[in-house]
Amino acid sequence: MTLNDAQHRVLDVALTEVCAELAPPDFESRILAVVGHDEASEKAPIHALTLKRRNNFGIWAAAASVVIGLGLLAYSWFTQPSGLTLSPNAKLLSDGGGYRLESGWALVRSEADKLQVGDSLVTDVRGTVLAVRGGIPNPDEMQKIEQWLGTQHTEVGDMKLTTRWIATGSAAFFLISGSATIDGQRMDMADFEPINQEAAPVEVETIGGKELLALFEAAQPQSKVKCEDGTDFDGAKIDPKLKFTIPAHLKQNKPTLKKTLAIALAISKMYLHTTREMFTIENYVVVNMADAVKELGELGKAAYQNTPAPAGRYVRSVTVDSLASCEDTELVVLEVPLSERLESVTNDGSGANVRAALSLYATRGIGNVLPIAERNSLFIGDYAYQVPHLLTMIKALEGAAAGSSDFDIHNMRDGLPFQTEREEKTTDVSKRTIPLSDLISAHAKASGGRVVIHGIEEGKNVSIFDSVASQRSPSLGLALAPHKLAIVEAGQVDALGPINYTLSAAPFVLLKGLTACPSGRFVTTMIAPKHVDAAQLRAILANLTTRNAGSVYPVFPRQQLSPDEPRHQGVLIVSDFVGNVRRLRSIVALLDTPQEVHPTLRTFDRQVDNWSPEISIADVGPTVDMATEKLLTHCVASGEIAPLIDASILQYIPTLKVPTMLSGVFTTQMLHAGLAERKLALLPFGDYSTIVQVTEAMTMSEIVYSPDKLAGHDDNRHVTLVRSLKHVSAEEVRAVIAKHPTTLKEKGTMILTLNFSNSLVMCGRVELLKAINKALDDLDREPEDVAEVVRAVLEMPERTMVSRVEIRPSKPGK
Amino acid sequence: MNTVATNDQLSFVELIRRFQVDIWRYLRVLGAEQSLADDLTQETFVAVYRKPFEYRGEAEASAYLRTVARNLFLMAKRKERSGPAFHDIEGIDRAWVEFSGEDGGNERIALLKTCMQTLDQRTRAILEARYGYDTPREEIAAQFELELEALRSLIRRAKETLAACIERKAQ
Repeated sequence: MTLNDAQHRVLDVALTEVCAELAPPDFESRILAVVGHDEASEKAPIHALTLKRRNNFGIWAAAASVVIGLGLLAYSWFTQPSGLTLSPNAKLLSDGGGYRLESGWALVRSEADKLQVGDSLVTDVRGTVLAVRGGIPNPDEMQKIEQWLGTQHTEVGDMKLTTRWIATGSAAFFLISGSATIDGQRMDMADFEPINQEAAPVEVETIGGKELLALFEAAQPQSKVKCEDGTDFDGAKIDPKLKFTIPAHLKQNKPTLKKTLAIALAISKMYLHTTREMFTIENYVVVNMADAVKELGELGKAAYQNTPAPAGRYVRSVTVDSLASCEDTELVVLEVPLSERLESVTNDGSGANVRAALSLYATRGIGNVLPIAERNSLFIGDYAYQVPHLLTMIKALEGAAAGSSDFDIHNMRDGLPFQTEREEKTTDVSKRTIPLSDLISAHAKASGGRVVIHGIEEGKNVSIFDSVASQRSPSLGLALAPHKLAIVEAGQVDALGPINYTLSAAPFVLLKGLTACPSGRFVTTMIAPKHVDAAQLRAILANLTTRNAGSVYPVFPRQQLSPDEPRHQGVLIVSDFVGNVRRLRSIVALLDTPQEVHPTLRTFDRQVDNWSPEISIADVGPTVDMATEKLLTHCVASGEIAPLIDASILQYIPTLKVPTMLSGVFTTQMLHAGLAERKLALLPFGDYSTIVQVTEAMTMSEIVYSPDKLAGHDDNRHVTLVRSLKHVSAEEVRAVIAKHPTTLKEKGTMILTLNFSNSLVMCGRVELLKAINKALDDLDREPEDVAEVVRAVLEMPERTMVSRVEIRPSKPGK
Repeated sequence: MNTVATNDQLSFVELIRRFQVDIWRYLRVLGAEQSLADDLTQETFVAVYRKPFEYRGEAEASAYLRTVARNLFLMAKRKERSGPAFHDIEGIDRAWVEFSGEDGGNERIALLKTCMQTLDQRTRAILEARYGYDTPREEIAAQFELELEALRSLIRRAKETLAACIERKAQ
């Protein structure tokens, strides 16, 4: 088959997409944000919501379970607190709706109530957590704890690894399996390095869709799984690419298998609908997901129009309180009232703005969020496991609207995230290649009872240059990131997939909690600027988020109704890797200045038009070829760069052209120069470093907090610099620099402007930024006093004809 | 202004969902880098939102959006004072329409992934180096001990094999 030039072009683009694992981004939210369009406004006027339950069975079952639950709770109140196992020295007090650990330690399991330990609160445990009053235990205490854990038949890999502890000051927590919410932050085993993989007692098996269905059917011989037309359901209908890593002891576990199957079917565009016979035997009908989603839509429409809701076949109507009685994979609808506080931060009072933001976090292609203006509430329809996530987002928005300090970026200039000093040391370093499938198995083992659904093809690896002595494995989240994959919690099952598709399940973390979060974790947070409009900041941040993954969505403020009313600047909902969220937060803190800057030269001097910045780049000089692996090994071994993790990019770059001036001596300078020549950049990445193409460097590069700090960085490193201008317009300067032949034409360079603080956000190689910065120093000078000039002109003899007055900047003071 | 189509057959949101991938890939075929393709895809839909058009069917809507996107691309190139690297725009349009089908090329891209597995390991590694990591041809040639011309014809042959495989599977 012979191809013409045009067909070659098309195939080139397709091959780039396949080989570089690119995917077209989803533009829906950003386009709607730009045009201020709201999908809901296309629909009918909104009236009161009347939703009916599908049948009465749910009510009776829920009521019965509440009665039984209350009975059990009352019983347990006087005996052993449910889900808590206390150490012999522990002191536990009953505290309202939960317990308070006063001393000692405790094992907290899934069924436990909320537990206060010191100032920290642990809730929603799905697995097992060890809670210790005080700080991280010393070795003697650890030994005692380990002995006690032995009596509880609980094994922990290596408790001495302090990175595995979550210390909050007055308490310390060790996640033994699964996940838990500690002080509002969801912590998951996926965030931590797998420990002691060899000794993990859990055996796992990776199977395909057909085997999953066979397991599911075997686990419940009385039940039937059928298609809607009554024919037998064939496992082949599950997406054949999907695989399931299942701990052996869960192979007989009906609820877990059901959840796994339901999610696998949802990915394959089908819905597992449960029917009951004689109130006991559960049967399942596999229906087209579109039918279930259509029903969700009809219920939403009825809510809008205040018409009686149609009888639901697949969707259950619940309240916030009865949500807990639902199965994770059940489709539910509920109405959530919005507080008046939240109304003050939304621009139209109808909740449409909040709805548009939350829609991003509803399950893609299934979930539905609609505003009900008359009652200032939201209609939410989604999987039961996803609804709490949306409720958390609403609570957080309310907090931001109320001006909670949790969202104040100016009180959080704690430990600037990228300025860590590395200890110079020499160690033996080796390159290891770990298959992602091994890390997934390790995760499934370490998490105890969690199934992982994924579609990782064979041969996907992650390469690590690390100390031979360390031999540690990166956390699964960190290892997946270079592949643009993330792992998220979907009920009690973990789903692994492309980041842009897992965005909706990214856990919500408060800004102040970011410090404790592992860098490889993909999270959602909120930033509330104090002075600059969220929409203006969004335009900048959208360019700095991880490509095809990160997202910034503004919730705009409404107009002030009176001058006395405090003015909100809106809220930014940001989703990205923790490392990058910290970076974005720091950039906002630098840009969010209290005073608007009005450039003095803008109105009466047009010198910027004629400005010719002198920007030149030094030639690197003669080069030699050097083995990439050798150079990297040396740089890691000497402590010059952190251990390196990447998606095997190095197999395609056997050598680098490095400068010869330091012949015989290995330095990071050579490494940076060699990579720059290949249009690659070495960047910090959590506790590791990584190599990316320069076009992605702008979304990850380290912030240099003032222009004079540039001098301390290697010329070929990629950094981000924020600089404010006093006298010339940042926007005009950017336009001139953009025309310069050697600046923005260099791949990986980007200059953005913010009018409010008259700032430039510049990303690129240090050498280039130094040159631009020097040119800006020459331009951004205070002009002579205009009044002085006017006075001089007025004092001139009458015969002097003044045709033109030109004001030039002063010479800088010495 | 809630719909782009005068006969209300397609809402603006539906229009984005239906055609965004198509337009993004089309811009890439024209020669736009990823970030430019991102920006221009957004601008294309914003332009359509501000100036709605008459919806007469999928093919016509797609053609109209491509025209808007193409004009924006040419304007961007003009601003950069660099000309587009193509001459036969109609040929490119034809080739893209043929490839994209009704889903913006999703199906063909998925088939391409499958077809890649049918290539021998060495050819696949060469294509991944060239397209996945933008490695210069000279370096790939040196790494795989090939003459530059031999590498070019190997890539060309591989692409032809892949195109034939995609066609076969699509039928």
